[in-house]
Amino acid sequence: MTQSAISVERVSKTYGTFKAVDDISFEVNQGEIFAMLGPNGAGKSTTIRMILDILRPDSGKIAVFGEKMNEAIKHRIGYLPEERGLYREVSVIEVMVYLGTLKGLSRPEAKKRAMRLLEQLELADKAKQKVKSFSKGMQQKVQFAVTIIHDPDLIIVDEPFSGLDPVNTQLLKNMVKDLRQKGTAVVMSSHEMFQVEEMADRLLMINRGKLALYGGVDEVRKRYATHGIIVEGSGDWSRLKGVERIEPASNSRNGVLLHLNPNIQTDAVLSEIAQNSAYHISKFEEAVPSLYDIFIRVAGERPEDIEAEYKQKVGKNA
Amino acid sequence: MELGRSFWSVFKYEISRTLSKKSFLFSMFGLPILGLILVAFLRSTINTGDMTQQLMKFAVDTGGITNAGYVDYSGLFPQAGQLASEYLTRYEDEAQARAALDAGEITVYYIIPADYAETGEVQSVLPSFSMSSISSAPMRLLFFSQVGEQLQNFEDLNVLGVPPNFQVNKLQTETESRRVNEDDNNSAVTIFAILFVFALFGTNGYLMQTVIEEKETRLIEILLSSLTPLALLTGKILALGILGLLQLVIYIGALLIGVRLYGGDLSFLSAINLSVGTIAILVIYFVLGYLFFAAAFGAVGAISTSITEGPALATIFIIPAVIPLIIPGTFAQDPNGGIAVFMSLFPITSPMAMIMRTSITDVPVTELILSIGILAVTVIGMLWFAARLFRQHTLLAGTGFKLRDIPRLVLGN
Repeated sequence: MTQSAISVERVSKTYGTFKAVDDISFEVNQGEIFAMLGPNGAGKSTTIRMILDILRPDSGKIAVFGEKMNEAIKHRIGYLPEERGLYREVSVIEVMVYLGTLKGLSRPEAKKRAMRLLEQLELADKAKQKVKSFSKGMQQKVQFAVTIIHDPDLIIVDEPFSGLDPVNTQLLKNMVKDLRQKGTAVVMSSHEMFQVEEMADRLLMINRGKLALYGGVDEVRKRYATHGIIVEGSGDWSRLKGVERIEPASNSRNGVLLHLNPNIQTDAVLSEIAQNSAYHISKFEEAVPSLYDIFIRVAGERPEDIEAEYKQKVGKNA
Repeated sequence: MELGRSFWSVFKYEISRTLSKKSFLFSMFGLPILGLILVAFLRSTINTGDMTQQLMKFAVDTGGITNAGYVDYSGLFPQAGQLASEYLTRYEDEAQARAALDAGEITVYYIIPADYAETGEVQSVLPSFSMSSISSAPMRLLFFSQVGEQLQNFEDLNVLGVPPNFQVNKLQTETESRRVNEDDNNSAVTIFAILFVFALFGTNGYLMQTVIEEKETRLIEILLSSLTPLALLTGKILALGILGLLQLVIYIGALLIGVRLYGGDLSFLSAINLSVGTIAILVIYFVLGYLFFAAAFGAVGAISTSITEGPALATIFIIPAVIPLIIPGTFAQDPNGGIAVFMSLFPITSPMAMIMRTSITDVPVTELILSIGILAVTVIGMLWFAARLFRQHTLLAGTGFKLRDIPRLVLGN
């Protein structure tokens, strides 16, 4: 059995009277992109800081690569926090080398790797410039490079693509996917649901400190799927057999969501549309909600409702 | 307490980064160099311009000695002369001069030997060793008074600018030797304490700045994901402590060079006679004092939300720390009195207070042990406290600090 990169077991953390994290358990596997979702202030950053031993939990257990946090383990982790920065009056290469040495690299090795990463990020010619001369996007690329300079086995990146243009976003996304390919566990916190949908293998959603969603991305989406189809085209959809209700589809510009009678299969509806010349379709898909829709829905729910619904959907032992 | 390899990375990086800062280089090297340039300028000003006027000013400067005597075996100075007679009295022999000294009529007398013309040597005789009584100025006044007024070519008077070659005779007995050196030791230790304060608060100011900078730029969270707050803080403290020590050495060196450059006499250095015990105490208080204030400044950095707020908060420690230097009279008058003892035990004031007291009096060993013990425990406590604040408050950059938050920040997880 493959060892988990991160194992969080019944962890709670309270600030004064505010319970930031409430009895959360999850695991992150090696070689997967694990998304950590939740509204602002939900408890994501606190959870991440507890994993990194920057904060200590009030209760529960956290293990990284099967061990309690120590310096050797820290050297296997790369971390890119949401609010991040670098020394402004120092050259880019100097700050990268320093942060590399803090992760256990020798200076020459850190310098070699820093230059290689800067070349990859098309910043090699600016290595000796001071950080303050870099744009926000360029600094973000350097920060990402610092996160992976020591070839970590686990990276935790918080909003890694925020503020980047599409070209640089794609550049970093490719680097993240390459890391997964090499077996690195990637924990990614993001509010950009389409990025999560595209990249993540599994996800965790925290809402008001409690675990709201946990599982494979496709599995979670299916869990929230309604019995219906989304169609784009023309025709009187209400006359189709088995259609109970019609509403505009939230994740389709011109489509409609057809809620179906529980006794009718989606194949039967498609067959009827295909055989009837009164209908023309340009798009037909199962009504699986986007993560964006699920996020909006779950984030708007009360914690106790989320808990009840979660238990109902995945079973009490989940 | 495991600090790990990362601690050394922080240590080395902080040294190189601080040494690359122009402001630090200026305070470490620029200020002493500027001081030396100023001294050299003042010195050159004295040797140029209107010679007569300058020499007059130069000559009538008696170095603060208003009642001196001299015994002339060379025959070159039969009279003190009009200019010098107000300050200098001629005696026929040493016995008369000694009698006048013992009677308190004069504070110092000079013996001008028969071979003065060949050697240029003059002996200075003092009742006890006193920095304020060591000066070649009265002799210059005598020479100017005797010779200068009769010379037509004032350029010849340049010879008067050359300080006589002094040999200092102390009249005290061996048993009085400790008291004899008191003034010198006291002065030396006070100068040390002042320079210590400069170096201490200068380098610790940089330490505080680096902490605040790491908070403001939000680099701190990345750093804390690589090493513990204690390792980060101690790496910084050790690096800046060494730079502080280097700064202290440079300041002392510059001071000595400055004195020499100005034409001063460094012979008083040989008169400073600090015992091994006193030197050990100075070193102990330097180290413990530095660690205490470094940790305190680190804690201030951890709770400060901006680079301007830090120095203001640091005054909580700076002002009490320098109180012993502000009230040296209290220590001089009653070095074992209540105030002096309290300040020697209270950790914020104890480094300065004890450094000053040990130069004046014999501090009871029990007090010394108690003071060092309290300070050492406080250092450990302050380091722990600062590291806790570091862990908790550094993550809350931008939020205001309230005193009531301290227990939660320090005792929380």
